[in-house]
Amino acid sequence: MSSDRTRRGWIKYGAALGGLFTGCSTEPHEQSEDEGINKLGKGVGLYGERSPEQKVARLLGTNKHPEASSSTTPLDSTMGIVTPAALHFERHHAGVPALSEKDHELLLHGLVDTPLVFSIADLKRLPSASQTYFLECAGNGGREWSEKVAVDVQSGFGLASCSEWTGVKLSTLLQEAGLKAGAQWFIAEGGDTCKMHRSLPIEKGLKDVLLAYGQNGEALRPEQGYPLRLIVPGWEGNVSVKWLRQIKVVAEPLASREETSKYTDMMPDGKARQYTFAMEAKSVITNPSGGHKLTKRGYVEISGLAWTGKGRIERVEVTTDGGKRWQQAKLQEPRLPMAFTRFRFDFHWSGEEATIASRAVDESGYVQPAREELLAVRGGNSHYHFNGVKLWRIAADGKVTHVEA
Amino acid sequence: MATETVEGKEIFERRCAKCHGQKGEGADDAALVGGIGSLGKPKELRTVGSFWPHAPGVWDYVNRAMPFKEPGSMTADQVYAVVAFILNLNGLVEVQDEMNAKTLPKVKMPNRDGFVKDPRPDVKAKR
Repeated sequence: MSSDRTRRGWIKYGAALGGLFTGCSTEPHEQSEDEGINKLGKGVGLYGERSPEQKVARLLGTNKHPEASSSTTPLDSTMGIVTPAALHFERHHAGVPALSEKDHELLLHGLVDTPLVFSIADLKRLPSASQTYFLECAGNGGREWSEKVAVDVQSGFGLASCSEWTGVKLSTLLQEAGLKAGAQWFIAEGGDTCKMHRSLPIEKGLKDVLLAYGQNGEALRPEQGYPLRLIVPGWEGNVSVKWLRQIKVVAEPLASREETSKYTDMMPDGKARQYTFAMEAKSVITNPSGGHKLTKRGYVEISGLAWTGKGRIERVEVTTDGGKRWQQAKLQEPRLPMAFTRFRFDFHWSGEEATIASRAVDESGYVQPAREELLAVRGGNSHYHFNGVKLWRIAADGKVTHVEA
Repeated sequence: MATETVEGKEIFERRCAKCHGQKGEGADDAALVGGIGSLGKPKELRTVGSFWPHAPGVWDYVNRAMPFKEPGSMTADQVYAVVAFILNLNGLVEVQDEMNAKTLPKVKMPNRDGFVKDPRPDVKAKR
């Protein structure tokens, strides 16, 4: 029988990896296999759905207005580097507008030679590009600025996701319209009821900004900006304006509400840093992490995600002794610029208490700082751009928790 | 009290106070008044008065996005009136001051010079 062959194969493979499978069952589940294989399954379907027993979901934020709230990606349940569109984090400021691809238009105007209006069909006729980029809310990890640090990876770090985005380069449109002298910034505005808008340097717009209509191979989800959104690689998520309806080329930034009273970084001297766009290198161990429980001693794969707004992740180091010794983790290839990089580290858990953490180094040479190093410079009122190291503690009973600040 | 501020008070109490408090002290949503001098301190209060650098920015945001569930439902003059009332609550304009496209940019906001450029990278990790 094939199950004998399978069983022998597994035992041999396990021996080759030096006890990696200690604790794994070598007995196949004969009964369930027999039942399943003789019962005719469902036929073909129009749009796929996950197994009904898979319940992984976003976690809803607690803002009293669900239209001005957030939901977080379960980073400890997603695999590889891609976030399924249905699990991509949300941050809305005034609800998800019900827009139609047929009616939606993008206006490009301001300091341009020829103001232009594009339908979605117009944009789809232009040269397209697909790029895998992370998106991270400026406030992701914000709890770490306070004494009450996050207890798990989803609530604490799940305002970050990674997708393959497809659309048109903004540079294509700007070249078509022609920039006038003095064109230094552009203001992107969305079609939600707060008309979310941000000012961005024209230099970035000409470099790598994408006007995306696709995400992970299909049309954007409504909550991700359907039918059109901006994707500004490596910069705080808020500037990747969803439901994009106009781009106005201007000489100076607007200094509007979202660029003054929000999305600025308060320093201990009472001055706030403004137009702090880039997300600096960051990593977090997703498995195991707060709320998990190790049930067996021996091999444990430590795995997590690293990303940087400054290009590629160069290296990720992992500690399993609270930071005394840092060892290099394996990085999933290819490492894409401004995308999630999955790291993996082989750990043999002895059954004793262990404190684990990761730190990322990016291609600019920047090293992810310890929480204390970050707070020493920025103080505790910063709200945004937290990128300090996150510690998890494995207790002797296998329970994994956060480490008190 | 000037007609405009009276109108602003009436609009504010009817359309804004439920979320922002009768005197802009904050309720379900953000405080709009107070906190001047608190920025960067442990008990920081970020409001229109303490944090926002430009008065026209307040007009722009109210005009664009408020009230939360009925944005776009106020005329430009009604927005000026309600902004005048909020600025008056913060002690930044007198009740008789009329707010319009000419006068609003001249209001001296306490945190006008409270913003600096991005100096990052600013944190050097020890290794």
